[in-house]
Amino acid sequence: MEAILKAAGLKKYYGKGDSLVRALDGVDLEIERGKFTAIIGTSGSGKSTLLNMLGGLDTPSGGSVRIGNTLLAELNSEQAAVFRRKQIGFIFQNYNLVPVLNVWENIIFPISLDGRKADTEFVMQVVKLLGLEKKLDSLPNNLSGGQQQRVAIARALAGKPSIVLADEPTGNLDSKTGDDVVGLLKMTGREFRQTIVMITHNPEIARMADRIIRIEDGRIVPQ
Amino acid sequence: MLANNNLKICRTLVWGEFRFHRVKNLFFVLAAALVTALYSFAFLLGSSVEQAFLLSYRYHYGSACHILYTGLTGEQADVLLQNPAIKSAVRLNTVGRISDPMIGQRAVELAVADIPYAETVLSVPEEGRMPEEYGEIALDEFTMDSLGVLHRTGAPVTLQWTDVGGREHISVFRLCGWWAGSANYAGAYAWISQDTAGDLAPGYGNAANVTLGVNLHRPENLEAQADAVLAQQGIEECGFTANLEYNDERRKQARKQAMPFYGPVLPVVLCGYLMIYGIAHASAGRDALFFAGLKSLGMTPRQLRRMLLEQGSAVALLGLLPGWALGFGMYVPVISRVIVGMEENPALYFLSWKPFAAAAFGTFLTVLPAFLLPSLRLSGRTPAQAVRSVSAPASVFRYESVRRKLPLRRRMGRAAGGEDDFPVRPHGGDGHLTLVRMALRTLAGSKVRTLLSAVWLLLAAVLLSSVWIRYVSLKEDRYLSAVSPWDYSLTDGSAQVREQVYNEKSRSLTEETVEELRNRPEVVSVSVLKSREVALRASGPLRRRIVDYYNQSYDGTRSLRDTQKGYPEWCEGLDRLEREGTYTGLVIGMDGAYLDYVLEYSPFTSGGFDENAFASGNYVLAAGAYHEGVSTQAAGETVELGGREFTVMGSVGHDDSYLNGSGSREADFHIAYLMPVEAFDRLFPGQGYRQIAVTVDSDGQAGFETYLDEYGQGLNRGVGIVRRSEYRLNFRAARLNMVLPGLAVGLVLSGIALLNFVNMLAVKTVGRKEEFAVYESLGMDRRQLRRLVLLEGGFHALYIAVILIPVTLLFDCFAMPEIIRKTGSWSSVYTFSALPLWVFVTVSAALAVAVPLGCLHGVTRGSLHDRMRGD
Amino acid sequence: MEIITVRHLRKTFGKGESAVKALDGIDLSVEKGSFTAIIGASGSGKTTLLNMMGGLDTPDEGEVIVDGRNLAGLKEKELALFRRNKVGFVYQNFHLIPTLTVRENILFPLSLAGACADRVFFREIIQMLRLGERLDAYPHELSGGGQQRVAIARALAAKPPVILADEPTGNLDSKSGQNVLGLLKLSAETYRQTLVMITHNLEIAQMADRVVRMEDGRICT
Repeated sequence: MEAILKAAGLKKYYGKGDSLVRALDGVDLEIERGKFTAIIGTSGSGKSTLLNMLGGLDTPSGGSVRIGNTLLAELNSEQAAVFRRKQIGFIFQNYNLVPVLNVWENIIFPISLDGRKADTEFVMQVVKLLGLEKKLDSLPNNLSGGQQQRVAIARALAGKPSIVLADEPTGNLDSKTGDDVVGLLKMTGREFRQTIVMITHNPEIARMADRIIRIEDGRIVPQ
Repeated sequence: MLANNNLKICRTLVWGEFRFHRVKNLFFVLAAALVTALYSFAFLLGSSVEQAFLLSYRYHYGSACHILYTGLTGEQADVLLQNPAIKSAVRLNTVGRISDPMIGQRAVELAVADIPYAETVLSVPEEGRMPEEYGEIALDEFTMDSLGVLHRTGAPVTLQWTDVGGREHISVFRLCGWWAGSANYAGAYAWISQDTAGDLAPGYGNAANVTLGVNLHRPENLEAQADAVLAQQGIEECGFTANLEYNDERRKQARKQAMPFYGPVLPVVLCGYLMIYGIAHASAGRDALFFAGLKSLGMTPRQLRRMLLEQGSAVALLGLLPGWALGFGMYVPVISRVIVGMEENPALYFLSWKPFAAAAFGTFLTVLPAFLLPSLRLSGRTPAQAVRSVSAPASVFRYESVRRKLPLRRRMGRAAGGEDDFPVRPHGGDGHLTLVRMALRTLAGSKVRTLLSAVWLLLAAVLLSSVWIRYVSLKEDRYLSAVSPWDYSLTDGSAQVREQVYNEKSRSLTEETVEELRNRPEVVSVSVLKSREVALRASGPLRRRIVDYYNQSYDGTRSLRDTQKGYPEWCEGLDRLEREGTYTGLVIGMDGAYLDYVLEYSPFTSGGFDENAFASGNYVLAAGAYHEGVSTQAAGETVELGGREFTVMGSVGHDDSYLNGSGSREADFHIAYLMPVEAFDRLFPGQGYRQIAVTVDSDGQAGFETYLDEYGQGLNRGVGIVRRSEYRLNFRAARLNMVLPGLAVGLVLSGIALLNFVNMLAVKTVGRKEEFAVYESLGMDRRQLRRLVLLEGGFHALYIAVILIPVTLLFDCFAMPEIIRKTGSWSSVYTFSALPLWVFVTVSAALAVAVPLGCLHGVTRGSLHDRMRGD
Repeated sequence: MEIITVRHLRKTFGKGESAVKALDGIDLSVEKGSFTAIIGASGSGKTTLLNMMGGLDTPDEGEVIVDGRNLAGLKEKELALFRRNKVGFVYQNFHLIPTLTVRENILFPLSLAGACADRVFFREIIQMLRLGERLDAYPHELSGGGQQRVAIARALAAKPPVILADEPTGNLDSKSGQNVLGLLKLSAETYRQTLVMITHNLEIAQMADRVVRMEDGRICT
């Protein structure tokens, strides 16, 4: 299998001198297309930093990230934005829905940004899969946490990105909802042949992944 | 348990707050400084104007002392000074009074030089010095001009004067010093040395010739106190006058006239409050969570209030010094335009600590409630409610009213056009998600605050429009044709200024003068005016009519007579008429432009004008109060003037603003009788002209000005020359002064409204740091973000314009004509102009676009990751 | 002996169609010195119940009696003093005061009362929670686990008889979560405090003396 995502010698340092924090201290990583990967680790181990680097939300102090044939470091901020909306779907722990837009508008937001036409059939398929078809006119604030997270997942999937990056998508959910959400994620990933990288600190949820990567002190712990 | 209420912890929290939120607190301090500045400005301006009015009353009165006692003997003066009510006193030994016919009724006392006294009557030589040697004299310029004395030390002065005993003398002095004529009403002084006095009037010290200028401990109810002092010390037969500066009515009048200058205080109270509140509002959500947290840890409402109080006080205190400085900086250039004609710099002359203290007080009064409000709002809620009141914690952004139900998408749909830069095809419907739509949503999501700032802009625009329309409605032509219907006016030296008493014996303007003027080629017309005061006795019915007239109600609370309380001489004149039936008649002979002026501006209250009958010289116009109703003889009645009987052709409400100078004190209350100048000459032959009005060909203006300059220099006696161009300058200054209070309020309000607008725009952009980061993380590029912000700015501008333009235009077109008609001056003609509105619309549009774009740069710095975490 | 008694508690948010019954008739008593875990799906009313017990929110109906004191009868100020003296809170997101140092944060409830800290006790807590070296740091300079330890120290500092914890481990990875929980339990036992804790984690709930499961604003038996 080809590696769709490749990180080499990734480093990220904060502060300097005594208070220097090595959030990432040389991470090498290859992720294959269509796989569901879970990243686990203690808080402060650097897993969020790693995910942000992989999605181009943060710039590394050293090393490189390659997605497909694109080297992220070579993109300027404009190109990075365009690349993100075409290739990557994000799911954040705190959902990050746009409060002034209704559910439908939130879901198609990245597609709209790209000036593309949403594949309505496909999006509706996702919507139905996530059980959101009755909530399309609602505003995010009128939804429960689980529903908001499902909207965020729909948003991440709607543009058919090749990669979905999820940062603790179950962090604010109770365990049953959390299980459901990850199940959905896994199912949609398989359905639409997407590569999923997910951060979690819940070992049970991590067990649902094809592969588990453990991070400690900014390094990947060999399994 | 209840006693445990530690307040010291509040200070720790406040210092922490200052340490951690430097930028926010800097804004707070700046806002507080601005509030202090505006208060300082308004209070400084108001108090200075008020004091300036009082100062002008003092000039008018002629002495800085509270009470002047006259005609005391030396012993009486000593006795009087022992009264405990007296704080300090100055003393003058009068040698006599100048009785030179040229001086006329202007009272000039010949007295021994006394510098302390001279200072209280502003009669200290500015050129040369006080007399020290035998034969020296110091005079004021008005007296010198009346006497024809050259402005040069050592110039000979020949004076005719009357000593205290009533004997006439003619003496020759040497001029040793002079000062600009303080044009005061009470009189002037001619200073001589003690040697000279002893030689001229031996034993002058024994006569009842002492004038005592007295300052009291408590300067109020001066007349009553003056009487009381005399009674307590057992002194009778002593005259006194009380300083107008301390007249209660005058004080009220000064306060009233200064009121518009205090006006800006009102909007500052409100705007300052809103400004502080606006800044606090930007972080209200976070603060609510913070307060809720503190409360859940057991902080009592009192402690919370105390914390906010300390924070507010700290902000206000830090803002005081820069605020005072800024306010003073604004005040200095403005005050010198408002108060003109002072030798000292009015900004420094009227400076006192009081306005600054008032400004500080006002600042605290404004800032503290704005700080305390959140705690009051929280005190009724439990911490859990406070947390819930902050909108959904699940979302990283907060909006004011996101819970508002958005309009349903239209169900009937069509496919989105492919050309659109931002097209969306929703499930089975048409719901474009365009940047335009997003921008509109954002606007809708914060409409309360947007509306609030629009309302402020509207208030400012309306106020400035009204000021501007009032300004452009004041017509120079109309003013000049009324105030100076003649191009040039020549006035007798004794009637140059209003404070001077016209000297009927003066012969500065003679037949020759008029003849010479008439012979000038460029002169179109020459009009003349003479006047004479005569003692008259009113018939019983006339007396009753006049007294009843002035006792009628003016505005329901005061009679006409009460409105004149600020003019004691006038009141005394009316009292005399009521008591004894005697009054002063002012006979005025006039022709040409003067007569035209009277006929145009003095409305008839009875009878009418018949040109031929008037020319016959058997008729007069009786001129009384400028108010409805007959306050004089009515048409058809007769009056005896100078031994001849005249029939009253009509009575008018007298607009006597064309008369230069004033009449004698007794004539403060008078009835004027207008007749042709020929008839006047038959009654009082040989009298000089009081004033001459000249109209010239506009081409010959330059030549005539040169002639006038030469004429003025060639004279050895005073003639006042007034050019219409001077009136024009005066008018422009007056016009500016008239709108200045409103302008100050308007500018202050505009400044605050625009600041508020900028603040709102900036807060809106900066507060969405995380939101923008999320957009970008989802793939919005910078160009799109800029366009979104630009669109939002455009919508803001449109929103403001939609509110501003119709309301302001309606106000300008419908309300302003009424306002001008009711409150405008007589020289106002409503003129439409919407200039301030267009300025506002343009400026707010520019700001709406520029501010968010400017802020965007700062907001989009740093990595997305950091921005989304809210660092 | 019962230290917390809750009777017929009801609370509704919103009105009309969007009305949500957060608490729908709750009766509960908590024994002094016990450890009670409250579990339930999100939105089941756990947090609302905890807020009521701590006097942070007022019920629409019913009453809460803590340590013999009926909260319904208390005025604003008395409630503040009640929270200060009787209850220690530990929140999921810590609620530390960012402008105060760790030491100031821990002593904050005592400072509010103007009381002096029991220095021996303070040192004991600090040692137990391993905060000795970070006393002068600001909260943002600590890790999540560190911040939660500060929050626990703060809750303990005034020796309140009751500790209310709302998912104290929710924002922590499982190792620091276990750690924090152990400390919380240890201190409650050491100082004979009553501990009521909301949690999602069944493992944690199993450590409790009693587990209360909530669903749709009711207690399931």
